[in-house]
This record gives sequence, C-alpha cells and structure tokens, in this order.
Amino acid sequence: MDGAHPVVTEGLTKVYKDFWGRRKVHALVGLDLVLEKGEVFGLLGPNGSGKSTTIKLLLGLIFPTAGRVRVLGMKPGTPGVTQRMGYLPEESYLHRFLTGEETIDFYGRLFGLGRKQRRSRTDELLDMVGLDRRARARQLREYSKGMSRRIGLAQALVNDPELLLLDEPTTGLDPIGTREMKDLILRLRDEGKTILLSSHLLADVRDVCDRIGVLARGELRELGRVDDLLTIRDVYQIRVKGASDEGCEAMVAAAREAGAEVVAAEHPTTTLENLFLRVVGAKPRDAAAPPSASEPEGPDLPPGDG
Amino acid sequence: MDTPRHDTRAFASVPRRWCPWRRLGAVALVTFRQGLRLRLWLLAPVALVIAIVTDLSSPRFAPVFDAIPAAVGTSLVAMTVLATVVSLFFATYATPAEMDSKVSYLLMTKPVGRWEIVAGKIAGLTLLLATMLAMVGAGAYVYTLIRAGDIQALAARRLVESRPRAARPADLNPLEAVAKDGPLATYRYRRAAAGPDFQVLFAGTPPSDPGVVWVVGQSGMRLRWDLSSTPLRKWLATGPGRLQVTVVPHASAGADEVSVEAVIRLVVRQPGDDAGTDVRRRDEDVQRLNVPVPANGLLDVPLVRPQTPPPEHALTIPDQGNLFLEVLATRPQDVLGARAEAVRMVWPGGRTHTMQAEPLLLPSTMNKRRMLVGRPEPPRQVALFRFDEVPERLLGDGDTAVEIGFTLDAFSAATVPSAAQATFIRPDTGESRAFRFTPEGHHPTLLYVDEAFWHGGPLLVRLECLTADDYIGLVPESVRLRLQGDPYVVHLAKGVFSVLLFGTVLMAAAVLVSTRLSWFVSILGMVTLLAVGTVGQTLLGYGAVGPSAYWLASRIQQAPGGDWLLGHVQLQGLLPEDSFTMGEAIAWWDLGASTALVLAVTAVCVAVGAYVLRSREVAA
Repeated sequence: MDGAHPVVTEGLTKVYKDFWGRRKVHALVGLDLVLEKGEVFGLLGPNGSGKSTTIKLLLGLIFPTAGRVRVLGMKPGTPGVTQRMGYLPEESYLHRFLTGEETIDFYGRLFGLGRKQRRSRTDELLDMVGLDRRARARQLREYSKGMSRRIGLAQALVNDPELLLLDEPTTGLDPIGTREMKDLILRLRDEGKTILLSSHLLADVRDVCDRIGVLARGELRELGRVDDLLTIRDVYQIRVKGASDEGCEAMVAAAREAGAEVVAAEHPTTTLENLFLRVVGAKPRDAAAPPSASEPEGPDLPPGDG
Repeated sequence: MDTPRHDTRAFASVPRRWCPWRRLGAVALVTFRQGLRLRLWLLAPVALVIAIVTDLSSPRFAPVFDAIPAAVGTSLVAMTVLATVVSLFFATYATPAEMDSKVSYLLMTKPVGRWEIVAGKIAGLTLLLATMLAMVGAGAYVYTLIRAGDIQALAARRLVESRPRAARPADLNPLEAVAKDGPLATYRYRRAAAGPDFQVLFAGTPPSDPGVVWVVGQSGMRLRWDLSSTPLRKWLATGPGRLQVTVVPHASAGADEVSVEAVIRLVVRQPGDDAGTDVRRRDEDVQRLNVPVPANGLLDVPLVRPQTPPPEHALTIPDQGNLFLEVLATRPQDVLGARAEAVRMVWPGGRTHTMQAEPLLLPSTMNKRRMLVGRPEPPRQVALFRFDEVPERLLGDGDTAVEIGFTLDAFSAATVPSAAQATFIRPDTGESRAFRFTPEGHHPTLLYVDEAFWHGGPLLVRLECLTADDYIGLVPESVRLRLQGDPYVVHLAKGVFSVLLFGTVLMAAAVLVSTRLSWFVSILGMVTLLAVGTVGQTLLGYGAVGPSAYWLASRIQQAPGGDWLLGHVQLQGLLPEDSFTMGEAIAWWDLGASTALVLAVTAVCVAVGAYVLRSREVAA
C-alpha cells in the first residue's frame, strides 16, 4: 500500500442547481488534491469556500458536476470505501433517542462487528473519548455539546478506519477537550491513519496538520506544508533562557551592529490554552507536539501565579 | 488535457464484510427503538380499551348471534386503525425526520446499502406494529375468555325465548349454533363445487320433454339467446325482416285451456352480463313487447332498423352493441319453456336462419345475487348447489352442519315461519331429506345432515321459497359445509397476523414515498393510497352505496388504468373478512398467499426506495 494516495481529486467541480435545474452556485471549481498516506491534512477557508462540499463529495453524499474523485482507490460512497473510513460531522448527526452505548453498538453493527467485538469496542472507545458510565447510559438528547463531539468521534472510530474525515473536530470542546482531541489526532496519525480535517480554528489546524490547503470561493488558493507556508523567511528569531537584562541588551546591540533591524525584543507569552490547562491542573501537553511559532512555549508559571 | 494519474489501486483490495442481515437488523432495531421511545406503544392499550368499551356498550355488537364474541371484531377494527395511524404518521415521519436532522448524512457514510436502509426501516416499523398488535391481541384474548361464560349463558337464555320460531327441532338457528358449539368455536368451510343453478320444479311428474328449459312468471327468470353471431344486422341492411320464437306454454294443473302471456326483450349487453333485470341498471337499452302466446307457441315479431318514431309491435335493431334476445313469462300463473332451434329469422326472398343453441336460463339478479323467488304452489323456481365427492375424513364424527345464507349477500324478506325449504339429495342413491326453515337476513341458518343419511361423497342441496312473499338472494358461497376450524387462539392469531400484513404494506408504501417526499406530502400520498385501496373496493361493490357510487366506479374503471387500479389495489383484501369475526377460520393457504403477496409488494418498495435513495443527493 506504500505510495498509494488515500484521496485523489482531479478537476473536481460541483455546481448546485435550483429546483428548476438551473445552475445556481459554483461551490467547488477544479479542485486538484492528493493526500498522502499517514498525514494530517487541514482544509481551511471562510464560510462558503467549499470545504463542506469537498467533504460531502469525498463521502459520496453528493455527486460531482465534473472531475474525478477517488477515495481509497474507489468511487466515494461505495461500501468498500465506507467500510474503511470514518467521518465526524460538524454537528451531532446521531439518533438523539439512543444512549451513548447504543449509539456505538448501532454503528458497530453497521460495520458487521459481532456482539463480543462490539461490546469491547464500545467500552474501549467510550473510555478513549472520556465518557463515563453514567454518561453512556443517557440518551444523546441529554448530552452537552462537548459530550456530543466525543460520542461523535467515538462513532467515527468504531471501525478503526484508515481514513478519517473530521469536520470542525474541536468545535464545542473546552480547552481540555480540545487538547485531548488534538492529542488523539496526532496519535491516530502516528498509528498510520490519514486524516483530513476542516476547521475554522486556525491554531488547532496549525498544531496538528502536516499540510494544509486554503480554499476561497471554491478554488484552492494555497497548498503546502504548514511549516513552509508559515515561515517568515526574512525574520530570524533567537530564544534564550537564563540571560540577564544586560546580556539581552548586548545581544540586541550585536544584532544591530550586524546590520539587522530589531523588530521585537521582549519576554514571550504562553498560550491561553497552556495557562488554562495548568490552572485547572490538567495533563500537560505531549512533549512531542510541535511548538507554536507565534505563540511560543513560555516558562512554567509557579503554582498559583495568575 | 493530460492530468496526472495517481496510484489508487493499492487500496482496492480489502473486501467488505458480507453481513447484510446484521446491518438491516441494526436499522430495524434503531427504528423500533425510536418508536418505543416516542412512546407509540401507548396507543396499543388505548386501542384495547376502546375495543372493550365498544364491545360492552354497543348493541350492534351484541354477541349472541356470533360464535365468537364481538370483542374479536372490535379489537380487529381497533388494530386496523392502529396500523393505519402508525403508518400514516410515524412511517412517513421516520425517514424525512432523519433527513431533516441530517442523521441520514452520517448513516450513508457507513457501509450500509440503500436497500438495507429501506428494508431495515420497513422491518423495524413492522416489528413495532407487531408488538403493538400483539399487545392488543393478547388483551382481546384474555377479555374474550373472561366474557365467554356470560355469552354462553345469554345465548342459552335467548335460545329458550326464540325456540317457538323453530318449526322442527332440526331447524337450528344461529342462537342454537352458539349454544351447541360454544362461543369460542371456530369454523372452516367447504363451498359447493357448483351453484346456484336454477330450474323449475313441477309438482309430481314434470313435462315429458327433457329438452325444454322452463321459466315461471314474475320470478325474474328469463330465457336468453345471443344474437351476435347471426346474420341479423347484415340482412337488416337490405330491408326489414321477422323474428320467430317458438315457445312451449304450460297449462296449470286443473286449467281447461292454456293461456300464457310472454314478454320479448331485446337488450344490448356485454357478453356474460346477466344483469338483465337488475333494478339498479339503466333500462334505456332494453326494448320489450308484451305478446299473448298462441296455442302453437309461435311468437312472430317484425324487425326494423332505427327510425323515428319507433314502430309499434316491432323490434328496432340498433346499429351497434351486443344483441341478446330474452323471453319471460308475464303473470304469476304463466309458465313457458323453449328448446334448441326455437329462434328463427325470416327475411323476404326465402332467406331464413335458425339458431341451434339452447336458451340460457337466467334468474333475476340484484348486484351479485341471484334471486330465488317464492311461489306457494309448484311449478316453482329452485336453486341447486352441488358438492362433489366430499372426503369423509373432512367431516369428522357426527352430523354435518350445512350453513345457508351465511354471507351478507344472502337475505330473505320472509316474516313467516318455515318460509323456505332445503332438500338434501344423494345423487348416488336418489335418497332425499327435506327441512323447512326461516331464512334470516344477515345471519346463517344451520341445518344438520344426519350422519346415517350422508357422511361424505356427492351431495345436492336444493333450495326453494314457499310463499309469494319470499325471495332469497344467493351467491355461490350461500350454501356450504361448516367444518371444525382452528383452536380459538390460533383463530385470533391469524386475524392479528392479517392486520399485520395490511400494516406492513402500508409501512412499505409510507417508507417508499417518504424516501423522496417531505413528511407532509408523504402523508397526503398515503391518504390517497388508502382512499383508492379501500374506498375503491366500496365503489366496486356499488350496490352497497347506491347508483351514484356505481356511476363513479364505472367512470373510474373506464379511465386509462382505472380498471387495473380498482381491481388490483385492494388493501382491504388483506384484512379478515367480516365472516372472520363470526368464527370463520382463515385458511392457511389464503394466509400464505397473502404473506407472499405482501413480501412481493414490500420487495418492490424496497427496490424502488433504494433506487430513489441511491440517486438522491441526500446532503445537497
């Protein structure tokens, strides 16, 4: 399977028509996209840019007006594809009258899992997404938005998919949930799964994506590795720890002497997410997570400080 | 334009697990759970309470006339309403609701076929309905058992009150049937192989000529000849001619001379249409001439083409339509007959044509009933039903009950005791037994054939009315053998299952229309289907609702596809007949055939629904 591309679109175009069959909206225009196996790909874009249309086309829920699309080597929506992919919609599209356990059991049945398998898989997934015993026995109509996202993710993983489509995966989650979701995405990537996610939360995308594509008015405007796209080539940043004020001033002076313009020389700040996690005493972020350039890791705050 | 081709083949090798029943079952189970959690099951006890209250309070359902307590009937009606309500409002709701809430978005991203979704929904709804019907059925069963003792006592009391009506001990009426067989008895039937065949029965020795077909006056009986294959119209184009009919007048016993009056009718009908004297039919396509029958029996009538004004004492032959000639006896005392070669056409120039066919004997009809009209003295009209070689093993031990006039299509206006007579005849030995009885409208009369007289083999049943005030409407099912049926619990289960079949078809249709249409439009579609499938049946039985309904039914039948629509969309046909509530068991064969039909209809709905879903952009 090495070298295979889980998602390939060539000239993919979708035009929505009105009731009378007249062309109404050009939602997607000539999208060429290739996903590599085992990567996390972020699909960005403002509202109406074609993100959801792209995902629906990949799921086979709508059909392309022109172009070609192959998912896991097959036509989207066919059982051979859906058997091996998972989908987390942007809202809870689950039966609200089922309990959490019944929901996972239902989707397990759709994937042909046996009774024993379903039972163990249900326990495993609900533990993974952090739904406790009481929550599992409640109907989904009683779930909070965060709980709905968690159960939604569990159903997306019930078949241990090769390809995962996540639509706004962190929407509605608190910072702890957001962090857990991002950690989970990275873990799934490490297990070799391919993940396509669309999100409005750019920081989240940056934290987990290997590559991103930016859509605007149905066209792919930017495509590449996150680091490549975000690196500011003409700015060089040095971070030091333990230097005195005089030492810092000497470094700034040395930079000026070397002919560089000093744009900023200040103490960095931590992210609000890190601050929140530390305050509530949640598990700190995985060390393997890539640091943010614009929101660098700051020094540890002493307990109770702030 | 060259586009890069990417390697996608490596992914195409993983097979999908083949387990459609597990997926179908999952969809069915979730649909079933949805119904339960919407608390639809509460409708079941409500329906049961309504059935019981109706049974207790309505005199119309007084149970003493029926072998099975009326609770069965009312509970079946309640179940039918239940099935209709669930299909109309929930089955049409389930799919559009999933579309609106976008649950179907997610569902269709799973490896579940569209047909599995549609079939699963229908299966889940059917399971839900089956659960509710089982609740009502179980309640009705328990209620019936509790009530049975009351019914038995009431039946016995009424029997004592009505005993004076029975002319002879053997003349059992329905009350006696209840007392004899018990309130929980059920029956199956063996219908006559042939009948009713009408004849004229003469007192003593009948006239010697066996080739003569007889009719009696004012009985509605008539002799008919089909003129379609004669050269009548062809010859008429060359000029007028004459029609000669030779009849055989019959002198009444003790009469000095023969005096008979006849009516000659020319009618335009479809072949096989014997509704010649149906009072509800329009009569403008009928010409009639009253003529006295001369001693030699020759009736001679001029034939002419249409002209204005129409000539007197002549028959005008219309240019189009199937022509039939009919001859009737006019007065109550008139009896006449005809044999083969009785009709002759004579044209100038020596042209003659003699019809070889024997006349066809037709009784008076009303809707689908053939009327047996009474006379105090022979010659008298009789109706014959024939049972061919009834196997002895079917009859069990003891006397065999012969049921007369069980269906709603049979009735009598008789108000005097013993107004009719049934004669059981063994064709193999010539032996006969006669019983007089009073036909009761809408209820069966039971006569028991002594085991020593007949217990298997061929049997003839001859019916006749004994007074001029009596007449009985007869259909082929009017005379039949009543045989022991299923145990009561099986009997009831069959009825409940029939309602379930009815509901399954409704569910399948509701799911089908709702795969494409909104909830509201789906409901309208289902209402239309129910109207055609149930009211259409009523229209076909136009006699029950009057001439205007007949007019409407005939227009629908004449419309393109209307005949097929009214003939084939018969949802009511799946429900137990009215006779079921009186204890008539549904044959296993009929139940099997209905099940096969419902499965076939459901399969078609699944196939069409799956196609609609597959071609639909559910997320557009």
